[in-house]
Amino acid sequence: MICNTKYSNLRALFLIFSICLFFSSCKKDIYGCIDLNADNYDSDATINDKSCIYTNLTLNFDNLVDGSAIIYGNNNFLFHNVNGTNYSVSKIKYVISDLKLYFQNDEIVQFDEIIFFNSDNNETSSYIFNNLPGLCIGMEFRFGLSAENNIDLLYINEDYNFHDLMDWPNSFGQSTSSVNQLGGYHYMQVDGRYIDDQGQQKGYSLHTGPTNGQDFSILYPKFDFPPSAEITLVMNINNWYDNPIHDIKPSIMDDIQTQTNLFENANNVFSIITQY
Amino acid sequence: MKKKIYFFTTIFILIHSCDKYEPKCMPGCTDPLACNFNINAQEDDGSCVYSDEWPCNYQPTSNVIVEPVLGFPLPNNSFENPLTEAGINLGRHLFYDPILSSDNTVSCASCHKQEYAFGDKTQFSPGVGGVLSNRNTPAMLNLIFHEQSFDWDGKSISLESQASRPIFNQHELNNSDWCEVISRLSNSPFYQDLFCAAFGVEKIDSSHVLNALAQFERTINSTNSKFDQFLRGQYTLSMSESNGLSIYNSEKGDCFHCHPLYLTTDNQFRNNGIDSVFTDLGRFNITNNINDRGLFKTPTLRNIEYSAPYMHDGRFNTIDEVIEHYNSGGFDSPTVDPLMKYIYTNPYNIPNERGLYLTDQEKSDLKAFLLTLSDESFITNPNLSNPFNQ
Ligand code: HEC
Ligand code: HEC
Repeated sequence: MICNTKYSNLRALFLIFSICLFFSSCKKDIYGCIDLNADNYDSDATINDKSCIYTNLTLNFDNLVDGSAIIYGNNNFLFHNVNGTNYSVSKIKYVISDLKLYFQNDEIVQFDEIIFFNSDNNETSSYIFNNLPGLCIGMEFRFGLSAENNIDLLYINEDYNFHDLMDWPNSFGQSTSSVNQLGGYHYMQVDGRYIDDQGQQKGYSLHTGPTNGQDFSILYPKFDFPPSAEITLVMNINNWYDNPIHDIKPSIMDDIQTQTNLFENANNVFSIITQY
Repeated sequence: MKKKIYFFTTIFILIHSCDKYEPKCMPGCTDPLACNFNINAQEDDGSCVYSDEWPCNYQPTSNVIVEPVLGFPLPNNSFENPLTEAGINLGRHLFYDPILSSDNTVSCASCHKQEYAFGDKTQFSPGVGGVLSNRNTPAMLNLIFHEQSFDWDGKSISLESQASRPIFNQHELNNSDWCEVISRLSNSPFYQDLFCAAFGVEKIDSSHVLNALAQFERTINSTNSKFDQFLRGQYTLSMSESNGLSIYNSEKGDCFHCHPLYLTTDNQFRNNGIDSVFTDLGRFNITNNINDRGLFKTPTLRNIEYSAPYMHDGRFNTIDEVIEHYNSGGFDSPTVDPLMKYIYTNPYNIPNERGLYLTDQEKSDLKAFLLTLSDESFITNPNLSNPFNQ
């Protein structure tokens, strides 16, 4: 009886013969990869033989508090900021856009995709760019979405429930407080708890987005790094608070002063680490 | 310069056997078209049972497309199971017909009642023999717009697969196998005609039953509430409704982070702080991840007026009680959502007070807004009603 199942005993024997033959060819026609961007560029080759190998770039996301890895939780209160306020981090989400990658031969590749990181979803912890012209030496990106890309309902069919999770409500012409919000999407949501000045646990939502009609997204200048196939974008949460100094508040979505403080703090929040 | 050429020669020799010294290959019916198809069977033992056959003169009916709706994700007009008039009609009959239950007493619509937004007005709903469901029957609508996971804990991943759960659940339709269900249906000349019209088949298998139910469910949509009319410029919100919208849609009430407009569900599993100790572990039962203890799928708030009682266990009888829950700050637990910010405090730093601290006026405004999500044309839609009463 032949039965194609896990119960049947499969005995496989693999024999691999590898024969490598080396021989030289005459000087005039040297076949090989003549593309400078390829991993296997051959400086002696004169004729391109379609053997070029191109590179992918893996972009990982990592979030720290002053060098410590984040242990996600509501009330472990492992962290404190420049004000000495103790806090916990339960969830982190943010979006980057207007991405440009720079390559060794001065080539620049631009991406229209938005890239969403969600600490609740492992699938978003790294993003892979395919078919790049070589190893990457620089990256430029925008934290959040520019005003022209931050439009109500624009990303309603985006992957990873981006719309459901990052919707920044349109106030439908009503004012939510003294401030009239424009719709679109959050740039970032960091949620957790802190100990308030009465010693009590309070939830906070470090949520940034367009406020009072103002675009608070941040186009970072180019980050340079050694030629890499894998890089990590690191966010230090504490740097959102230290320059100018301001403190954690529960709700800031229509708080123009806090949004401005965060915007001004953005300079040193992100860094890029290369793996090799 | 040397040029390198690599030759790789790979020879696989596979010795494949399954002799009498092997553990027995599991016998059973291996034909997916048979009613007793056993997905675990490895060796067909000739036990397959098929539905009776009847003559079918198939006249294809037109395809039905659910149109995109402003503010909603694109509807899942499934390619594998395209909606057709006859398919939807069959699904609707199956949904309302107790023939799907083991003793011909309970139908899907016994628990999912149109007048209650396809939920039920009791905390738990009786299935076959009066056995109560162990969770509250959820309102069931707009599922075509967010087909990711179904049931309070997301245990079903498509409407087709969801539909088989109630058919065999002891708390619901309580059948023991497909043969039982299929023989009742295929003995009915009425259903022979409907299955023929829907799928052009001369005998039934389980996929026809599930596909038809899913087709009907994809038409159970509510997109004409006062709030939708407001979005289309056809209705002006009252002062109270509009204040309620501001509370809902800002961090004052902070409903929108979990119930984002316009769908009013974020399709996520969350713990909204209704308990400090869990009796039902919810999402954890599916994932075994300790961070998922006490998480349930955020339900839609559309037609919430009609679908009381509320929460996965139907603990709250009125919208006022639900608002009071959120207003009071909720209960702490290791998995409570951080958006429940005022479990110990309040936004105004008033000592010894906790919760959102909404005024009575603000609570009634919030409720007024929630009531604009009611869609009367939905709960009276003649295309969704019991076809046997017509
Ligand atoms: C005895 C009452 C009962 C009957 C009968 C019943 N259901 Fe349900 N239904 C429920 C309950 C309770 C749940 C929630 C189950 C859970 O979360 O574990 C549910 C969940 C659902 C859902 C998921 C909705 C969502 O938003 O996730 C769908 C779809 C559904 N039922 C369809 C059906 C269909 C189709 C039938 C008939 C084949 C049916 N039900 C029969 C009680 C019932
Ligand atoms: C942290 C996320 C979250 C927030 C914030 C939130 N909800 Fe919920 N809501 C849920 C979840 C999850 C459930 C289901 C919980 C369960 O059944 O155990 C739910 C259930 C409900 C229900 C019952 C629905 C039903 O069919 O049973 C209503 C009504 C409701 N919420 C209204 C609101 C209102 C109004 C607000 C704002 C004041 C709000 N919610 C804020 C997550 C949230």
